[in-house]
Amino acid sequence: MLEQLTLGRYIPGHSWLHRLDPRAKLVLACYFIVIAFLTTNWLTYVLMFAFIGGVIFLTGLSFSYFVRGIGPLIWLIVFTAILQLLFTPGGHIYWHWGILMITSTGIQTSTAVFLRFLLIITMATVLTLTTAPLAIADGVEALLRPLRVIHFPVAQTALMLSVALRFVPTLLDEAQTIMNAQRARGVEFNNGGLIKRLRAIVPLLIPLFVGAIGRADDLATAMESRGYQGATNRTRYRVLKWHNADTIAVVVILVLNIVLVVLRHM
Amino acid sequence: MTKIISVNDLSYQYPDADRPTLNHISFEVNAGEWVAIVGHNGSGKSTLVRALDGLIDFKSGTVTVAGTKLSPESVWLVREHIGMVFQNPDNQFVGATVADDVAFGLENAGIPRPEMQQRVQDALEAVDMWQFAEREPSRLSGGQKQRVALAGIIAMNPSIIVLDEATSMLDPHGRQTVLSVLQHLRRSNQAPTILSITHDLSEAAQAQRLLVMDNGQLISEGTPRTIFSDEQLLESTGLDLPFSTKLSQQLAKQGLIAPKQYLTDDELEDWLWQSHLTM
Repeated sequence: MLEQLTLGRYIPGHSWLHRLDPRAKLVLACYFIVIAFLTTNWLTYVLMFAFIGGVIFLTGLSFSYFVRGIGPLIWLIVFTAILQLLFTPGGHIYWHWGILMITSTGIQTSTAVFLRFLLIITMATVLTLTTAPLAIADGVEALLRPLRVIHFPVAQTALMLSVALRFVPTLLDEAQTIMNAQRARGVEFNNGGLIKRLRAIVPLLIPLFVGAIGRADDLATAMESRGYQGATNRTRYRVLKWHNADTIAVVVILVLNIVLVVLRHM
Repeated sequence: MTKIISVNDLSYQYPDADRPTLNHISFEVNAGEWVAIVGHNGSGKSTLVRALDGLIDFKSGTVTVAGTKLSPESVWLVREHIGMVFQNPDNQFVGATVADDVAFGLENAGIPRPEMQQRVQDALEAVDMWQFAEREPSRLSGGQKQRVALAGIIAMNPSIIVLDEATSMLDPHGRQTVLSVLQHLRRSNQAPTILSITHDLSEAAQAQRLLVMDNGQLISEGTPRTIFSDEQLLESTGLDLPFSTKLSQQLAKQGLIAPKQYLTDDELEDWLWQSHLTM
């Protein structure tokens, strides 16, 4: 159960996409998600799916990773699409019962919703599969840097993010240990109704929180003893480098955008 | 001999405690010396070394480190002289990877990046962890994490290294690797002063001098050999001698005197079976 909670599901690799700068990947993934809404006719969908297919191929990862990435969300997508299908009026009415109806517009919008969702989630999966959580944190920090103008504590936020990521496996281990300890004392985590299961979480969460606060205290002492005085005058060990490949990726997505706009009007 | 640490009449009481944790403590440490502080749980050892680094706010007494008197103004200067390794390997690992963690102190000091890269590599090589530079802490053993913590300190090149029960959560092998790094450091040109808190008397035996604490007071000090032979003191403070020392003492009573103090069971064992051959 706990293994599935691991952040990011990052699969290490050396593909071209793995090596792209995290800033480029974050911006391009967001850009792709925005232009996914420009799709109108079947040509634009073919183009977008061909593109994402190419991206999946470039990751060098097995297709099953992507199926697993989309899996948990497929019901949400289907549910949204069905709502669209049943509640959208307009066009030719094929069937109706009370306020429910299936219309030609409904079929069009629900298909569009389904396909766009699929594109968006696949792209998000590509990002998390090929980018280490730490690299994502670095990328987010770099992109937030302009906010320093309004005195947003970018460096502190970045350190908080990186410390939080670093403690995820530690706290998962601790949760596992506590669960085993409570099981040995007769707590059942996987049996009974909803209320009973929620009550079983309490003896897990309280020691976990107490432990986490103790760790935070220790960590603060250790950081202070190593000369951490907030973000003033710190230098950085880890820096991001923008390569030609990143520029190429930006150009590719701009071309995609232009072709998409052209196909829209065909 | 220059005094690198001078503590004079230091007392401290935690806000919610009913008796002082540190009770009129005075002692000095020479530059380059290895001093171990021993005593049972709650005797005030950890509080004492935290006071040296300005991590607790004591009201009475003075602490002078490398010629600087500790005060709220000088605390960051004092911390530059002292590198501390704490007990729990997980709770002092700041960086997301080994290299990031070693760089943390250097980043705080504002060291330029090219120099930082060199110092991170040198420090990790000194503790034999360079091949793990990109590893995440969750994929390291306790001993490896403590060696990384030591590398983070070595990179800063402090004149004093304080170990606050740094080996107590490690298995025997992990403990041995950490101690051998320290011994290696001691042989270098700029041997740092080492102040180590430990429960493990076989570790304390490697120090040049022991300070024994009980109930917030320094009750005795001396070389490991003198302290270990004071059975009454050991009993009253609840310290348990290492097996090899106990055995040597028993053998000495029988008239079999070991030529030197053996710190590990293996060393003593080697000597024992070899000496039996020559007897």
